[in-house]
Amino acid sequence: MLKNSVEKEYTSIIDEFKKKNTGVSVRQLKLLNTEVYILYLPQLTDRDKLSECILKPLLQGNAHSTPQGELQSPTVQKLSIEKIAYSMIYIDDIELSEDIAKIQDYVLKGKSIILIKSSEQFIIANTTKVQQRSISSPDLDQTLRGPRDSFTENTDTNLSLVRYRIKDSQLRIEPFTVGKRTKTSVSVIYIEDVVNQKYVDEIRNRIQKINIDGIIESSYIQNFILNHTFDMFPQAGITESSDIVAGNLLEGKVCILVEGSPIALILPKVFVEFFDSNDDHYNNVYISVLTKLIRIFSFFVALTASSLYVSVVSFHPDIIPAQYILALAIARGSVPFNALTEAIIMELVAELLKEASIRLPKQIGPAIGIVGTIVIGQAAVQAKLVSPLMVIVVALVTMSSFVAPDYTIMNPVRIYKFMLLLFTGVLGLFGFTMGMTIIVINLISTNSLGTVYTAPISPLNLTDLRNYILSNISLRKGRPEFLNTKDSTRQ
Amino acid sequence: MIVIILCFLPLTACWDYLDVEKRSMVISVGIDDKNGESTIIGGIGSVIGTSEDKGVKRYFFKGIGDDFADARLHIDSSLPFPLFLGTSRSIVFSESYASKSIEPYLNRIDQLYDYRKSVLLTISKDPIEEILDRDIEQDVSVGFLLENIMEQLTRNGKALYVTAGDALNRIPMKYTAYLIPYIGLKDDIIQYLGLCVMKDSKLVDIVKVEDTDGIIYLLNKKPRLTEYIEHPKDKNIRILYITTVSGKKIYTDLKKEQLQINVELNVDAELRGQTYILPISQSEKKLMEKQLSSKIKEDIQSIIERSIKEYNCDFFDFYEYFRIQHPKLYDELDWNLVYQNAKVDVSVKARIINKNMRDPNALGKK
Repeated sequence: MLKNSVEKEYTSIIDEFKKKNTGVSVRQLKLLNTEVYILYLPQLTDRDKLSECILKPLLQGNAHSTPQGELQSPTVQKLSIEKIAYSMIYIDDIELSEDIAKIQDYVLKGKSIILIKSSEQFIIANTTKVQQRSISSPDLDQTLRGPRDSFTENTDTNLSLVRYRIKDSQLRIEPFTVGKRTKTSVSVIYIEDVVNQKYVDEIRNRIQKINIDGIIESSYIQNFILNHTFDMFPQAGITESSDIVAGNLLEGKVCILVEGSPIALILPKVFVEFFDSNDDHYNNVYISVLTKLIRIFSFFVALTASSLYVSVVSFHPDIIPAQYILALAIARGSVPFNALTEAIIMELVAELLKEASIRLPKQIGPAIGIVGTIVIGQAAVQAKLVSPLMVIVVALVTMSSFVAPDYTIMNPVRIYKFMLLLFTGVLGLFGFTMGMTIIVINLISTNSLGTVYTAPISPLNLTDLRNYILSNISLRKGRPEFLNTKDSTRQ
Repeated sequence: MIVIILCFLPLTACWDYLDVEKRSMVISVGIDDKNGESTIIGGIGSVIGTSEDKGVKRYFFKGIGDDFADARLHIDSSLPFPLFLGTSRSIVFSESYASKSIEPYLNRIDQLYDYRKSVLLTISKDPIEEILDRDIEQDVSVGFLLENIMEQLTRNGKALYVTAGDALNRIPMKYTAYLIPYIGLKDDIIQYLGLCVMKDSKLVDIVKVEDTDGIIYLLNKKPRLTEYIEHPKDKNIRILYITTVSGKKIYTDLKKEQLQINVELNVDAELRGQTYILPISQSEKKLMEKQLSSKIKEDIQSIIERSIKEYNCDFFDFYEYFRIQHPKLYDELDWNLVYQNAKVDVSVKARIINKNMRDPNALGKK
């Protein structure tokens, strides 16, 4: 490349930064008759580091080389970019590059560019500093016994947490940049000699195919990795705990971390695994089994309780003992709505309260709880608008919907319970059976990265099922067979 | 798939939609036959109009007609909501109706889809209206009271709980005989009074409650009866034993065209009280075991012989034992004919498991 053309290109880039409101600062230094330019984005740059490790050594080097009053030959005193890189600046992470077209990208990522117009090469110094919160307890994965460190929005911090837990030379962190405008870094993490290579290839392939202007949250990646946009059941697990990620990597799964998102994605994930909590692996085996069964039961309660209520009250009261029929009738004695309308209204109100309590600031969150309790629990019953039993059913459904450790598995339940209600309200238990059939068909036709979603129940694998239910690591000799890992033994 | 769904639609759909509080819930049904007319009498538990006291309001309905369908029409035309039989707990037949045959109504129970086959059957000594239209202090309604009385007595090994399903199972058989609890007013309180002997679904006789021990020993799954024995040393001292059956064997045989029924019963007796405390020696214990054995034997023998000679109806289901033990012979004979000449041999071995209330090894000896 001709020197003049390089100079021109540098000048045009610097002028562009200066003229347009890009926010990029251009610091110009004159050192030993050479003009040195430092380009950086103040918002993403550690300015102390810039001053101490770049500006200070450069200016001090200049002072030592030119004693007062002494005029030295310009040819002897010419400053080169290599000298700056290798002998002057104190930055640990630097790189020399000739790709002038990427200068803008580097600067926008928070790197400082040091250039001399006469040199084809320029220095990329890592002076990035992003304002970030410190590591705190996880909000999503509440645990009694597990570690309290959770991911933050900073990828380096998140990767350090994973690295800290798995000190294995086989741990691979494959970097990707996704988003034409956001240039978000995405890290795909796996253990090379454990993982099923097909999963890595598939994820790599799907991430590379993403063509979007920006990635804001890991859910963007999740949506692109989904088999079909309209799939109801989640195919990737989400977590913000590094111990869960480490546990899953050891099982032979793949984890995706996205810059700016504290939520890691875990792939593949089958249906029953959504009811598996990290506490299950730390607790006594009996408690683990009990809590796991309660979680699975609560899934079905959340899905079916209100539909079964409508079915029994309106179509088939004779399927329950006579005493309960009378109790049901007494409870509904003065309710003006029919059971279906009552159930739909109450479920909608419960969803409304749930949504409101998530969005409200923490300070006024409890107020919604009180309003909900008084409005639904007391006033509605006293006004005889709903039956006390319906309130109990809705409360049970709402409580059950929060039991799963990964809340995403409850999202389809929120939709399907209304579908079941309508089916049951029109066709009774027959409609309920039809609705459940549709749900089961949907469930068995889902897959996560090609892994059967209903494994290890269907196809049945008793070893995997036993390991899943017992959850105790001392009993788990191998990795789940449905993952087809390279190394199937754990102990 | 759509075709399959459409095929099933008529079975249940929105046209069946009827909230539970919009049904007249029948709790008890009485069946009578007055002046040759079929009468259905019953109690309904309903909640309409009870928003103030939040309880079940009791209605009483009565329908009279030439047949049950007619009587039902009579009832339907006076009720605000359709009759719902799924809640009915007990059916009470009048003695007069039962003596003519309860089979028509049993068949009706079989045909009405919302009737539970687990509904309790009873026969009343007193007029049905007097039984069903009573304010019950012990329970919500007569239906529940009767069900609860019979349930707890049967569970405690002192009575038999007979459902419509039990009776319906016997009807298709060659020799229909079964027992139905007999209830009635005693000291103005509804009580269990004994067992009604039903032959071909007709009331033949009533076995008073004090004479039912022999039946209970053989037909209750876990009989637990009270027996009193006098102390061999002092006849004024009565000793209370609770007896349970620890083993039962029934053998049947046909010898020289005579049916032989052998009943072997092992009974454990647990001392539960003495009017005056007097120690029991080993020899006295043996004596008392003998007394107890012969008393139980007498109870069983007498009721079986009564079933043979007096009623000629096998409500003990001995024919079932015979059919299993001699299947070929069973097909060839007329059971009623054979049964009326049957010879019964009952052998009871009673074992007293404790001599006083302080025996620490009483449970171990069981």
